[in-house]
Amino acid sequence: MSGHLLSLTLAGPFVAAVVVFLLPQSARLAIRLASLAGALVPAATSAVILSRYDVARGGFQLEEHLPLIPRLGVSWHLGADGIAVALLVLTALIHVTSVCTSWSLKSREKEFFLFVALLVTGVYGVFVSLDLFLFFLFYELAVLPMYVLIGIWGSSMDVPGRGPFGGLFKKVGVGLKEYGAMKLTLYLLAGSAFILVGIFVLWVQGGSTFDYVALSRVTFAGASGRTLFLLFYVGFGVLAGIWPFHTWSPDGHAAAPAAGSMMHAGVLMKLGAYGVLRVGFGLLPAAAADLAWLVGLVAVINIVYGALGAGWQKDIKYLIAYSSVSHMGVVMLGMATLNAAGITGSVYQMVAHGIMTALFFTLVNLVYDISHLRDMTRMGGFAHAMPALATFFVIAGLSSLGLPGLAGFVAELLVFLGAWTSAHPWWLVPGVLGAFITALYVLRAVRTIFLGQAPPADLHLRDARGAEWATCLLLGGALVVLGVWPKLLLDPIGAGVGELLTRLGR
Amino acid sequence: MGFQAAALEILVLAVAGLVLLWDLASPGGRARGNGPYVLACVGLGALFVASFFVTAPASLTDAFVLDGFALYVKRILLASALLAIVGMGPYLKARGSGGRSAEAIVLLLFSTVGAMALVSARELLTLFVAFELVSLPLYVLTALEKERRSSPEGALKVFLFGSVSSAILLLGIGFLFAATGTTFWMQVAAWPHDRLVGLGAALVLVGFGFKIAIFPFSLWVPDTYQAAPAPVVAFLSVAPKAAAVAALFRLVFELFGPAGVGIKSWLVLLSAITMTVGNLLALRQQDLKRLLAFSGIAQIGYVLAALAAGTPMAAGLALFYFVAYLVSNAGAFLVVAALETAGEAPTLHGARRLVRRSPALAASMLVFLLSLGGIPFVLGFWGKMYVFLAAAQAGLYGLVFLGAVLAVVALFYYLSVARLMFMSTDDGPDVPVAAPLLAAIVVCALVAGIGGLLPQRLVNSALSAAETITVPSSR
Repeated sequence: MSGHLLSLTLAGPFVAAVVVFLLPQSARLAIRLASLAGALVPAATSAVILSRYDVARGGFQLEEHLPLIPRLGVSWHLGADGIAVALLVLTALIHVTSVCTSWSLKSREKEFFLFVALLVTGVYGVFVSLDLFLFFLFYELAVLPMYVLIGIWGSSMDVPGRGPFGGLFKKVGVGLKEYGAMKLTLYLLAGSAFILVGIFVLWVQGGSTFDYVALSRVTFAGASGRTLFLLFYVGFGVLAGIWPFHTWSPDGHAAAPAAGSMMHAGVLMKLGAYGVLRVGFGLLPAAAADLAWLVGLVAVINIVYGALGAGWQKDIKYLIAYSSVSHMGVVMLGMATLNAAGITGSVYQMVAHGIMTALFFTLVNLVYDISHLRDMTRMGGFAHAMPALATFFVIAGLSSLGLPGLAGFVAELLVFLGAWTSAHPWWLVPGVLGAFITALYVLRAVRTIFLGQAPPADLHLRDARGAEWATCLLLGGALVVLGVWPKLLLDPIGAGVGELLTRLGR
Repeated sequence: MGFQAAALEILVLAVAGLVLLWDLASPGGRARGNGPYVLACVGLGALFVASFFVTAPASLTDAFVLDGFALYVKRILLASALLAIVGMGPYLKARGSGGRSAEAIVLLLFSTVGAMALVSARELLTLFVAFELVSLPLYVLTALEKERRSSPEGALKVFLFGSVSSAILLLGIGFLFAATGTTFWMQVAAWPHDRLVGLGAALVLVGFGFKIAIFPFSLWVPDTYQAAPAPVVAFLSVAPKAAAVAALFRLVFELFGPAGVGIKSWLVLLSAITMTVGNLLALRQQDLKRLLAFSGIAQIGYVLAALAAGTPMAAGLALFYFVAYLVSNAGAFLVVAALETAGEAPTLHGARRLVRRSPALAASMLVFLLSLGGIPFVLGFWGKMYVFLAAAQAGLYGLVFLGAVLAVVALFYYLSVARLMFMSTDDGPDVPVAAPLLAAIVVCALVAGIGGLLPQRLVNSALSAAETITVPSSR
């Protein structure tokens, strides 16, 4: 099977989805075990892929090629470079932990695990596709199940949706989860309309092929190249949460169930950033270099705006969601620097942010499940009753504000280094300002939720247990490991970025 | 004279004749058994299989040709008629119109013959006669349940619109004849383009526009679909459209193109308007049949994008699209038929919590909705993508973009049906479905599902079929 490691990775969750579909609703344990197996197989293969990836050689490895519809230039072409490998590892980690965190789910588990498995299949697929049609197919597959996940298992708390349509939805009596689900789906699919047109233009101008490698030999220069780049930037950027298309993200995240927001903030938003990097920067290097100023400008707006937004929130889910907007800004800023340090940092931040946000959402949902509170102002002193959760929250928070020794530090340091040596060193100012505001709101959240006087006894608080411990330990541990041993992922990422830089002519 | 070119049509007529004879000969008077259904289903099934052994190309005079393209569409038409007849059995019985079953079947078969002839026609009067033969039986079929109040009204609407469209088509043909003095395409096509030819072409296009429900000629569609029996709509919403679009492709390739009539910009405009209006109006519907009617209008808008592209590849991809559309749209209407058979109203409310009341029906309907919505790994996804691809290849990027955005809008209403079926907390009585009907629905769902995973053979066969379109040889 060694020749088909990537297909095997995809097959894991897909087979799990089929098995779960065939199992009866009453086979609760079997459903969970099948889902876990479906998560562990790709986790194992990702680990093998990471260990097999030849850093010295670089480029796409483990390629699989099987013509699907040759007359239209569609093929089953898979392959992974260092960037994809790092993101595969991230996905595997989030996948396993999101199954763990949903272990105690009590309503319609069959459908839930089915849709999670489908979503993850899509995510893995996007990261390993070297055929743009396949890429798009998996991209859609990753986005759509979210609608169901939020729509059924989301939080129905009556928090009014924001944005221009919030009032409208409130008026027709639609709850937050319906609002969040629909808004998210429509935003992301509208984004994919841009992507689709872009891919078709590539197909027409690139000689009737969807093959990434073949297309990467074609030059798309000038104004049409820039238009194409903008199509991809906006299309993928919606999912990456770039300003001003980020507004689906807080509402969607706040409404989603634990595993949903973990998946979404942890992995799905990375699909957007990955798309911009892979398709935008990879296939349209000239246009990307021309428009890097725009990407960088929007990125710093994201960083500062997201951080301010997070600082403004009382609802912890909204706080984490806005902090994601800010951190995705760091990812985009890294790309815009167009240098090795910046882009490597960008990819590293994708991984670091994925893990840290997943941990955040796990914790926030646990705190909510235990206390039934999401409003920070009504919390306080929770550390007395839940020391473990408090500890993990602090770890995630410190990674978020970039404390050395944790994954977030490595990423931010690289991105800021890249910014400093780029053509626009002034980007560093808003970037660092964002990091500063992050420190403020993270520490404030830690203080108001966990520190202070012990909470009133009628809240019946408890600490993490069982599968919850496992989830936190895995994610928190990963943050520490990636913080003290960054080489583990930096080497493959560097190999992937090196090739990208050659294409960018730098 | 190569009668094998028309063999399939003749055999369908023979099946219709047998059904009529059976009906006359059966002693039970009005309370007749399943004979006509079984006969028609077996006959159509056999013909569908036989169609794979028919040799093309063949021609019965210059007026009637059978090429791979026509043959492919004829298979779609046969399958569509078969599905509709399977659905009709339990439907008519449950609703107390079982006594009219033989007439209904015969009428449906006549309409099928018309549709099959339409794709082979290469002479304007043959085209017109085929066109009429598609429509006339459908007027009657719409009013099949004449006891229901809305039924005659819907039939009247389709009749009036249909007659007007025929008249306009005939006028167009008249102009073409007046300009060129012939009705044979190869001679019309050789004629230099002048104003009269252009006018004739425009009128022909409008006539077809009514028939395949291009906006703004689609006003009759929702009312008619609502009035007609659901299994009839399963046929009405697919077969005549597939035939007419195929005929339009032939017109574009063989007649308008060579004659230098530029209708591309008109088609682009009609495609844009049709998909926009169809999708937007579907958003507000509470009645499943109306919702699917508007969604069908929108779907035709997508196909027009391929027609506007006007390449042989686009024709092939449109054929593939119609296969996807056949299984998803006919399947969806058969689900509606199953709901109505079980005594449930064909509304969104009627589909509430279907997943508990009939899991197989709900799962199949979900596949159909996803397919119509163009969700990955279902046949409809590939159909839609390829139609857009064809449009992109012709440089119609604006249309592609509009279509992609509207596909998102469409998802809103498709998902709203899915949401009711799966997420509603409201419940209702169980929905029993007759075995043959359920089998037909499940087969459609399987084709849509498995075809979505492995579309290459279908795509390849459709592309090959379209390449065989025979362009008039003698100029």
